[in-house]
Amino acid sequence: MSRPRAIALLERTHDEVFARYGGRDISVDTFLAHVTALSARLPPESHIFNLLRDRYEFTVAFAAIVAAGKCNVLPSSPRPAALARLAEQLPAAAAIHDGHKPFSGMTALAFPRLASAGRSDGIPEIDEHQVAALTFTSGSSGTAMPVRKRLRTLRGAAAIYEDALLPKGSSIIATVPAQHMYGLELGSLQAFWSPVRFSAGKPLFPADVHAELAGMSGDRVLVTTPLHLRALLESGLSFPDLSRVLCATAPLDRALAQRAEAVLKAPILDVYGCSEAGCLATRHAARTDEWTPLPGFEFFDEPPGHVVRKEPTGIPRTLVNASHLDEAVPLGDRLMLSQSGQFHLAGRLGDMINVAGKRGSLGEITHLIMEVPGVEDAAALLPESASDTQRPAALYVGNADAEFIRRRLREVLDPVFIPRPILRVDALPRTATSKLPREALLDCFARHLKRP
Amino acid sequence: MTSKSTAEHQLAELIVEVLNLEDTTADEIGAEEPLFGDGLGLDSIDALELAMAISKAHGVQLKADDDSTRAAFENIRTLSAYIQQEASAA
Repeated sequence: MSRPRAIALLERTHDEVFARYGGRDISVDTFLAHVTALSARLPPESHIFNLLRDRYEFTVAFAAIVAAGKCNVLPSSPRPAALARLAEQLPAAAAIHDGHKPFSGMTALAFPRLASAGRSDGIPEIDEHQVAALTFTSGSSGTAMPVRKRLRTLRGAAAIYEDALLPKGSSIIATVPAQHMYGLELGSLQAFWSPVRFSAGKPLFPADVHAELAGMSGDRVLVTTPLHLRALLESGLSFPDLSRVLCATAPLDRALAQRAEAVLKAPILDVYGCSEAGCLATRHAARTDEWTPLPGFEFFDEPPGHVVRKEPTGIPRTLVNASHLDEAVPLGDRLMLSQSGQFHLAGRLGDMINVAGKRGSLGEITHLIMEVPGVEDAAALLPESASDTQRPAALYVGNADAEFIRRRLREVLDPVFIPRPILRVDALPRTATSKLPREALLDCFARHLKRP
Repeated sequence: MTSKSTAEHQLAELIVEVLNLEDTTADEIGAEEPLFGDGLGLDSIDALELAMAISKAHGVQLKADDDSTRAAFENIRTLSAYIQQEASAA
């Protein structure tokens, strides 16, 4: 690690537009005044769960937390029991929320009403190594693994994205939450270090996206996912002019990309990334399957003998590194690297799954089912399906009721990972060595599904 | 469980089909059972899938930032009434 250096939390001119919030443009100066006002009210704890859903309020809190030398905690699921589990891993945690209180026993600050103008402390200078945020990735060990985001990493990424993803002057509208790495970097933090503006809303339905786009002027860039994109096309609505669409969290299929370009009359850029390292590569999905790394990122296969984390299948992992990262990051996907530096994706490694853009682990779901009283054995699986929002399913052995298991899982698990269905079986098809071959598991699932 | 009208039953069938609720049948979903949270346990991805199916079947565009739609998503009865009202207004 290099010698500590202070960097500006914001590299923007004071009168530039920073965001669109509550139907009006917010200048950099107004944003700084809001940050100063909130800083004075933050709870004393070192780690603050930033649960705000409005992207502008989230960003005000994010900056105030960093400026106070504290760390943002960004859970992928705001469920109370999930937060309680994460809080156990942290030294001292409080929360800032917008009405949905986290859980009893945790200090919680409701986001205050923002004054239209006020005094500002100016742009804070922050140690570049300060951990600005903790995000979480699903490990196969059964617990969510924290990923530390240092300020220098976030700032380094923004410089790369300015050239490759979000040109200067972009007006950003995002359908993904700010607590998700992709939504955090492209939907909010890009405005810290690049002259872009973002819209505060998080539109869900196509009619909401339409309204949010119509409220933004300039070079509109939509930051979205394949699921939202498909919904936009199926709505039959006609949308305001877009300069480009960035689509991430799950690979976009070519037919959908081509249809989207025809309807939205804008280039659709598919973005590949992970929560540990951010956005890493792009492709013009309507024309090619091949991914091109963003400038500054180097991809390499794990050299034999230097295995960081061995896969049970024996497939070598691909790692990615860049000067703004602390260390090389092993990727959860199989990458086929070519001589030119480009690559193809060839599936997920191990037990990782992707449900409508959210990444999780079958091992984690299995682990949580096993914790339910009355469950003796269990296995989560991903059934074969044509649907692009394929959900996990689960088999279990024991006298627990499936509805009871479902209720217990809801307390801790992001709803998209709750198995559908959860089926009771007499025994799982374990081998003599207690392993569960995937084929046998899928077979067992199919047999029980057909039973009336 | 209160009995469902024909339109409500059709909506329950649409939900089961679109959301692949393989362990639930349309008959098992009560007209006033909450769709989200502790009832059927649907999530925002389900809401989006359902909105797509509803716009295809009835030509109605749902909006999440609109209070009347948020209330409409409460249960089958409210959602069915909302769809009929919007479809006849169009």
